Amino acid sequence: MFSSNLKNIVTKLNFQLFIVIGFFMPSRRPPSRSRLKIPLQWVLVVPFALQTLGVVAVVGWLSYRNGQKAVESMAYHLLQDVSERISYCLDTALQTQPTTGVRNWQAVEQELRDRRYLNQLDFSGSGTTFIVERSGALVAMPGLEKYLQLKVRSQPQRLAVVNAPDERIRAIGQQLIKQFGSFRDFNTVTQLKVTIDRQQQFVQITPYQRHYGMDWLIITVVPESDFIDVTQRNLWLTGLLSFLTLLGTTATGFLTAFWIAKPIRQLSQASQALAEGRWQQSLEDSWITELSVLAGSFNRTADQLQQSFEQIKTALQESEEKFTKVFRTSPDPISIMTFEGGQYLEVNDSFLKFSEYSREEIIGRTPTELNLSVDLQQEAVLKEHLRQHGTLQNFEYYYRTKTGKLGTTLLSMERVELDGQPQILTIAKDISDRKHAEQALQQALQRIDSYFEHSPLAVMEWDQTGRVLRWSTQAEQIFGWSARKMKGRYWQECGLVYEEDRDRVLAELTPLRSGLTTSCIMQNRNHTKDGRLIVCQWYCSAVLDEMGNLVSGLSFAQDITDRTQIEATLRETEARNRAILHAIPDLITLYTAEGTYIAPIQRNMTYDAIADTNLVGKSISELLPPDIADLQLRATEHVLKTGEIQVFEQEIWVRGTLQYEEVRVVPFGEEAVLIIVRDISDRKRSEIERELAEEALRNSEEQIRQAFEDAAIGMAVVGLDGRFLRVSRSLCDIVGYREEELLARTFQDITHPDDLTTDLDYSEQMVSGELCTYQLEKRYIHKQGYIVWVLVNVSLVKDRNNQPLYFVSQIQDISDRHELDRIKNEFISIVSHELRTPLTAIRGALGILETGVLDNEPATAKQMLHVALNNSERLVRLVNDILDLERLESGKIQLAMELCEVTDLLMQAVESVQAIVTQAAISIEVTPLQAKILAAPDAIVQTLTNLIGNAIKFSNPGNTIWVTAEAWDGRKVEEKDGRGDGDDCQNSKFGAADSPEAKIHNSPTPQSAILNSQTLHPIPHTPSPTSYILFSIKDQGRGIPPEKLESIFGRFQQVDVSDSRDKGGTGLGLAICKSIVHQHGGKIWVESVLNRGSTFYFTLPQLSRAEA
Amino acid sequence: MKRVLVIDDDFDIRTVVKVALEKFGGWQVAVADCGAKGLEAAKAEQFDVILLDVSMPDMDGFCVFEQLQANSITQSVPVILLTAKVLPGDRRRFAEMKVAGVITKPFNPVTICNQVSELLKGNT
Repeated sequence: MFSSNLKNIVTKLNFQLFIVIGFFMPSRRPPSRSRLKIPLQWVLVVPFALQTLGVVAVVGWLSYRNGQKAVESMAYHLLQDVSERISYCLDTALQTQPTTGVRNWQAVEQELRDRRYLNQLDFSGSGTTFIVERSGALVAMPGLEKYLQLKVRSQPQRLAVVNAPDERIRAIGQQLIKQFGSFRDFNTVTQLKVTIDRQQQFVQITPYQRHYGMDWLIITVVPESDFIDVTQRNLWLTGLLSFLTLLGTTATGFLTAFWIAKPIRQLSQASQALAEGRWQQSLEDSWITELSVLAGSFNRTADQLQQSFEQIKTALQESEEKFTKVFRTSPDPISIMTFEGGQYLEVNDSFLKFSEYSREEIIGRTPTELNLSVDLQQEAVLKEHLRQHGTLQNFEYYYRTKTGKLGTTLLSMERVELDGQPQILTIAKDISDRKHAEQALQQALQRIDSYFEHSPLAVMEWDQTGRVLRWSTQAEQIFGWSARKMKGRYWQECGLVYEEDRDRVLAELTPLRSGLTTSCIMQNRNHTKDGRLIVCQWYCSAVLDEMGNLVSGLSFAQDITDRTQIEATLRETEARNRAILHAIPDLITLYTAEGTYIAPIQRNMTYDAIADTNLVGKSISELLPPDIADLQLRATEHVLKTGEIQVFEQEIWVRGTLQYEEVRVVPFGEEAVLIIVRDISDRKRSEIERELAEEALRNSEEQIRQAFEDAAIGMAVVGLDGRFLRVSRSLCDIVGYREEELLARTFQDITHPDDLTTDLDYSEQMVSGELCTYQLEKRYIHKQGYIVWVLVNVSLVKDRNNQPLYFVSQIQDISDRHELDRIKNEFISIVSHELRTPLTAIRGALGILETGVLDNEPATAKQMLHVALNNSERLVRLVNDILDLERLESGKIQLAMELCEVTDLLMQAVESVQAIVTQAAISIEVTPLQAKILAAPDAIVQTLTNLIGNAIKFSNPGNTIWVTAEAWDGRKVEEKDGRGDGDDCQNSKFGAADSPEAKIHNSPTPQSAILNSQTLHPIPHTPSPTSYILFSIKDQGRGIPPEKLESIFGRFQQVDVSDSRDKGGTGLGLAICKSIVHQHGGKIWVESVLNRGSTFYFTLPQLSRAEA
Repeated sequence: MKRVLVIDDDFDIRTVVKVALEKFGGWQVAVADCGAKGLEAAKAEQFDVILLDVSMPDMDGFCVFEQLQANSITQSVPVILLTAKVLPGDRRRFAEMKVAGVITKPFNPVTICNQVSELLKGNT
């Protein structure tokens, strides 16, 4: 199978060879059009025969025609001659007759007939002649006299020619009449042919006119048959000769053709044999020169052809072998498969290796069956393409091997005809590796891109002309221009490089651009988009192709503006350090850890113990006295071990003088130390004196400092610019700042803006000498933001030259005093207002009455009196309440405490309001308690009365008021009451007292409340209560808004200001209650639900049983 | 005959002022017991002057005055404060207001009409 296929493939592949061969060999194929085949003999014979036949025919026809013409001519000459003889004869006859006239020609006629003249005329075998009149009457004819004799007795009777006895004459006469109508028109000699009984007759009609009316026509007739015999004999002879000629010619032609065609036929047969592959063909020599030459040529051609074919055959075999070898050994997989089904017919070893299948597995199967194709779509595309074009080049094909390995191959396919079947030759080129390489390359490129993008350096790429190809994100960040804007622009145009640097940059880039170098580093200034000027370090390199031509330029840029500035700063610092170093009057030397002298750094000391400068390499022990060297070595050791600088003093004799030196040993790396030596002799000598002075000063300063620090009021030393130079702890406490915070500020910073101008005015006046000191109440702003009122006393400290140095301020916190003032003013304001209101009414009412204007209106006058009286009472109550409250809160009245029965207290209170309760139609329910408390009974009754009175004021007729006393251990009211309606109790406020202390200790526990009260108003013999009596007064009134639950216990803090007038209150009742309860060490609060009622609670401590 | 509106929360004072203005001035007096009612009355009726108390619950005199000024109808009506606030701080505040004048409580009922008239004159 393989071989046959292979052979076919070879055949196919060597198709061109066959074309070469075919050029020499006749095609086996029949001619496309069938033609009429004519043998060579005919080709040669027929023209000759036809030519001969033609010539003979022409000659025969000419001979016949000439014969005819000669006969005709001769016949007409004969007829002419006969006619003339008759005419002559008649003339003679006329002349011989002496008479004239008719009788004369009648005689002639008679004579004619008598003499039988016409009978005597012998001019032809069967010719005849006759004479007729114009009328057609027969004058004479041979044999006529016997017909005429019958009528001789009288006038001779003429016989009409058409009735002539002679059949021929009669026929001629009839014919002439028929042809010409009559005989009258024959005026000249007329010759014509007449056909009688299919016989041509030559006829001549000759008119014979003489005087006396003699007008006859002599008609002469000769039959053609008299001449034709000779002619026909000639014709026959000519035909015979022509036939013989034709026969001879044809025979000759046939013979010639046979002799010529024979060698040609042999040539043909030999060619055919050659075409069939029988190469040993040779033609016999011919006696015809041309054919001999042709045979020779043929023989030579056949020989050459045989040789050529042998060569081609050899080449073909070699080609076949080569292909087989190529197929077998090709590193590329090659396969042959059927065109229609796609089954593999043959594959090479590479294919087996590539597909990992065995030959047996592959042959007869399709790629799909083998699962070779990864993508069925590509299979369809392949087939379609092959079907349409028959060939396919470099098709990327994704395959899967037997073991599932995936890869890519380039397929080249060709539709070939093998054994008459369409098949596909496929050569695959496995490019998986290349693909992987491409992917790797792609990834590498992406990585490079990524590197570029993430590089901290700006990355840019330019083409040869300087146009931007790449502009990395970092480049965008450094220069501000976006990659989109920059790509395609020339760097020379976009103003990237600072103008002054441009020429230098161009010069530095020239070697790179001209290929002299592949990289360069330069530093130049660049513009950014936002107009900044930055310094960049540029690393430029040339990207070259394989030929070494410049493809592009790659630049990395780093913004080194900061570094440049730092370097500049560093240089400055170094210079400064050097200057400083030069200015230091010290000896600075460098030693190793072992004490070997390395280098002198600085030798500015006036007198140096080490005189020689060239001591490098010597040990410290050789240079200095042993004790000093030892000291320095130990210090060196310590310094290198701990890293701490060692400072010590040494005394050394230099040039006969004891020199005090301060030595500093400073670590210098890990293996060396700097030893800095300073001459402190002068300092040392003055030290004793100074130490004494300093001691005294220290004592003095300490005292001052102590005074300053421990002063109860704030102290500050303030610079002329207002900066705090020194502050005392008290001042820090007053303004809330730490000392260091305050020292970083000016007094202007913490002074209230409204007070600043005044303060500055005063200080300016003091600096200018107008004031010696000043005192000012002003506001500081505490660090927490609130205002602190202070009293400031400021004085100015001056130097000896009376120049101001600083301010000394004493600051006293007067916030409490200010608060008291504020409260007092507010109280006065309220009291003033509250007193003026009833006074206004009284004054107005009395003023009106006094004029007498109402004398006639007693009702109105009475109303005025009522107003005056009512407001007088109100005024009295108000004054009393104010006094009570004032006494209670100032502690001016000492509540007389005694043991009281709770029930008694309740009853007293209820009794005092009984009349009003009854009047208001309100019921009151009292729940008493058998318990004793230590209290001021009047005060408690007043408290209860106030609270019950309030409840009555806000109750409507029919409402109930509950007054309850019960033991209480401090739990929540709800729990105790068991009411559990949390929603209703949302306004509950424990510790509702509004004194500052109560606000701070806003706890419902009685303990804290007691402690507070005790703190405020200590009661000498207050026992330690373990439980409380809780009083509650509950009403069904309109309730209290939540925001007022606390404030109503303040002064003049009614829920509604008009209540004081409408309800007869002063606005101080609850404040008095609160004060009384607090005096007793209890608490007071209220719970309320709007429109449902309020419950006022207060507690009083209960004595323990033992105490009771 | 002047038409006067008195806005004061104290019943007795309203009564006294009304009687005094009517008897000694012969003026027509309307009264309101709170700021809101006063504003309503001032908008509903044309008054020659409004006597306004300062310390009132809910809406004080300052607030009422502000609203009177804000309204195109009432802003042209002169307002005289009738107040028991006499401390320097209060006076400073009154001075900043564009009121026709201030009459302090207690006032003389016989002369109050003259006081009002004088203040209005001075204002014009």
